[in-house]
Amino acid sequence: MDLTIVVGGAAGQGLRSIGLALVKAGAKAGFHVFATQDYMSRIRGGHNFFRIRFSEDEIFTTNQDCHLVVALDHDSVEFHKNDLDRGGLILCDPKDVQANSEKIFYVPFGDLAIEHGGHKIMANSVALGAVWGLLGGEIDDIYSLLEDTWETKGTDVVEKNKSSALAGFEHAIKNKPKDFELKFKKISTTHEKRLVVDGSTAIGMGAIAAGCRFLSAYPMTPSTGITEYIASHQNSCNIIVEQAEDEIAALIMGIGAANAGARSLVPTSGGGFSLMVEGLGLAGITETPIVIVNMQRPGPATGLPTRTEQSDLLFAIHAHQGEFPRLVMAPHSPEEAFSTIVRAFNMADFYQIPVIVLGDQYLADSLKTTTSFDFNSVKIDRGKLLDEEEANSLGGDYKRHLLTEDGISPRVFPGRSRAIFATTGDEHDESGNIIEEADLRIAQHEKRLKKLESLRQNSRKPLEYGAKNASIALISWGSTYGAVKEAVDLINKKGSIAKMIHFIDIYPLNPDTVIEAIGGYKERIAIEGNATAQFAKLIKSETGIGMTKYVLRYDGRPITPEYIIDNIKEGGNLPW
Amino acid sequence: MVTVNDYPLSETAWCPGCGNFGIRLALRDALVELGLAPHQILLVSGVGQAAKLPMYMSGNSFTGLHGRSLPAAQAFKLVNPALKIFVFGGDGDGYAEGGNHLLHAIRRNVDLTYIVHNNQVFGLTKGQASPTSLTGYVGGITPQGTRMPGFNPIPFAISMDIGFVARSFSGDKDHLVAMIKAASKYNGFALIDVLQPCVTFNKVNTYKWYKDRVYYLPDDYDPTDKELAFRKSQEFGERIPLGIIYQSNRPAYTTAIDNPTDDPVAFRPHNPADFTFLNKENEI
Repeated sequence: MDLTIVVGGAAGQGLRSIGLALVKAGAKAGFHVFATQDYMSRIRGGHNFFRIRFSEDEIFTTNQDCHLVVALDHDSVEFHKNDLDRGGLILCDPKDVQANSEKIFYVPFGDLAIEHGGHKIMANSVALGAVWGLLGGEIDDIYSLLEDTWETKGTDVVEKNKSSALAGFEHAIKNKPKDFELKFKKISTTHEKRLVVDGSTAIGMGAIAAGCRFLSAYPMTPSTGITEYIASHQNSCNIIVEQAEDEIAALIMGIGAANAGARSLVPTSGGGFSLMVEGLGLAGITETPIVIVNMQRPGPATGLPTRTEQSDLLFAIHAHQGEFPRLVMAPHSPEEAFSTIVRAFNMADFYQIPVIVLGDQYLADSLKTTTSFDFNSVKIDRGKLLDEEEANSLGGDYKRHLLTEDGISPRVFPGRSRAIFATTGDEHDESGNIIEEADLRIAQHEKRLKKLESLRQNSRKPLEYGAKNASIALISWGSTYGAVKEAVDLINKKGSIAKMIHFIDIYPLNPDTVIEAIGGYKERIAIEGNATAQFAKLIKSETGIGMTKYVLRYDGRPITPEYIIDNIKEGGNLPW
Repeated sequence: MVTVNDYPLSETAWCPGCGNFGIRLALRDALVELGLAPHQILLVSGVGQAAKLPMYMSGNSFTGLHGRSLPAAQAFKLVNPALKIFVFGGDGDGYAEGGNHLLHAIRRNVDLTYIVHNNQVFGLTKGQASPTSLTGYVGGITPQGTRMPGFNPIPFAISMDIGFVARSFSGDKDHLVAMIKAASKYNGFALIDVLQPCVTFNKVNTYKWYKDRVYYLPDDYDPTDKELAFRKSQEFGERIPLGIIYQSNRPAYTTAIDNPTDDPVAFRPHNPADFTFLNKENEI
């Protein structure tokens, strides 16, 4: 069973609450759920929709199916009627929408709400009940959800919502077209508690698990969800959250806080990251551990503010003048984001480098069911730190940038001992004094770059999925994981020939492991959410191995399994 | 006890006769009189001749980017409230590149002392007009004279209701020591604009130019009188007042979460398992 419901409407119509309710109801019924939000950069109006997919199997992606549309306005009917799968229906209130189509299934959301709930505001619950009734779901799942949602408002509100939902439910069962065949297939529900989270929440939870104690940010879509999640937990989780005057200040604050001793996180999007580039180099030369999360959106400049793209990859790798080590990672799902952020903090502290986590709007805003995050197994590695006694014994002789075998110097935090801490964005000696001598420069530059080789060795191998003796490799990174995985399944249904090779550790790559992973295929197809195949270029420059085909998407929409299949057929070389 | 021996003065790359020497001596004496040891303080700066001061002093130091000293300094203080923080920079660093940060540092009012070495010229890049250069100042990029008026930081700061703002002169160490001590004792963001001759590049605003103009605010001057302070702060011509020009004593900024000086949250032990409760909020 694989069912997709679209809820469409104008901003401000409450489609998010219906969408969220459907996601949770599906999760309660035991399904795996994946939901995306497509919204325009405006406060009211426009066309926005929520696309919710239910499946018996775990899913990591949206697709192009569309079985039911809940249309809150006329535009939603027009926008989605041609996407509708055979046998699908559009649910709408005859008072809001009048359309001439056999696919329309009218449910008087508003009238039923007034009649059974006492107020039009209960229309969302009517819609929820109607969807469930059409699909043959169990009303108890909806009741349980409404109890969770409204219990703080009192039993009266809960009961009115339940009556409204039941009215919609019964209306749908009684009036549904005779030939309507779509149905939930009963699945065995697990009693294990599961989560419904989006990427932003998962990143926030991961940062808290990792012991983040300082966050500074300037609001920028689609990264603001991370900042707001952590800000809303600052008291219970002991995190200092500072809204900076601009992204320049945000990163510099993060760098100050990190040197003061706090694990620091700076979430932003591409435009903000552009402003942070100066600070990125400061973190590089001062060997400051800091985690920057760049939730990408289509650029350049303002681009498409509320949409998705994977076009900051080469920028993230190359940003800033000069040379210094950094680590770039790209998680692909909420659960992977949780562990990637923990790893980002540990690697930042271990190597004393800036770590860039590349997400995107698709990861940030997509909701997914997942098993609960395992906080107990989170390991913290703060890297080389001197304890107070060691630091006191060094006092003024402490050297922040001490030359060591592995290029990593023990840290102290200013004011936490009698050791004197000094560092600078100028080239410096071991003690952090400004220098210009050639030999001292070479010593410090090589000390820092030494870490790059070690990072390369520790770069994790890509994830592989698909047929064993495949001749086609679909090579991907970041949020396209789920789409590529399903594309591989679709290809292999016609014969086992394809495999996914998906990267989370993006930079620095280890050429040996990459060659081993991608070298033996007749076809290598790069799947990327950008126009210039940036990851393919990185692989080529690191390994000499090129791609035979490309599937690229840069219209601001997420890559789907169907999009991949359709575009592999076209194939072709890079036009730019 | 802290003595001058705790603050040995190292070799510098400053020009002989530079006003920076006077500021460094005043800082050393103020730190000794305040009883602050090098491991208790943090000297933060950006880029420029003034910003090199932390290099030539004892004490913890963070010398970052041009114009970006204040965001770093504020974060250090928020994370570790026990640090006594002094920030240094020139007029280019603080009033040009760092202008936006200064504006918001005044609003935020984190407890630190910001000392601007104001010599009305760019020294490190050799003599261009700075934001405080007066109209007509001839520099490398403005051979016909700068066509903008000079920025006067004091009325700007008063209009923002700054907690503490003073003006001093590098040629009068005792006055500067008193200003640094008073600024440091104020619990909030304190700005000291220190007039300082650049003996190499600024041939207009010389030691004599300042000496002829500066005068001390009288003992009965009331720095809490905002309107008076605003009037006084406009004087930057034939006469230039020195002293604490305005003091609103606005309460210092604290983090939104409780972060006690003797037990800052950043240094508390962390156990990831303690946060399992976060799962609950998203459970189905």
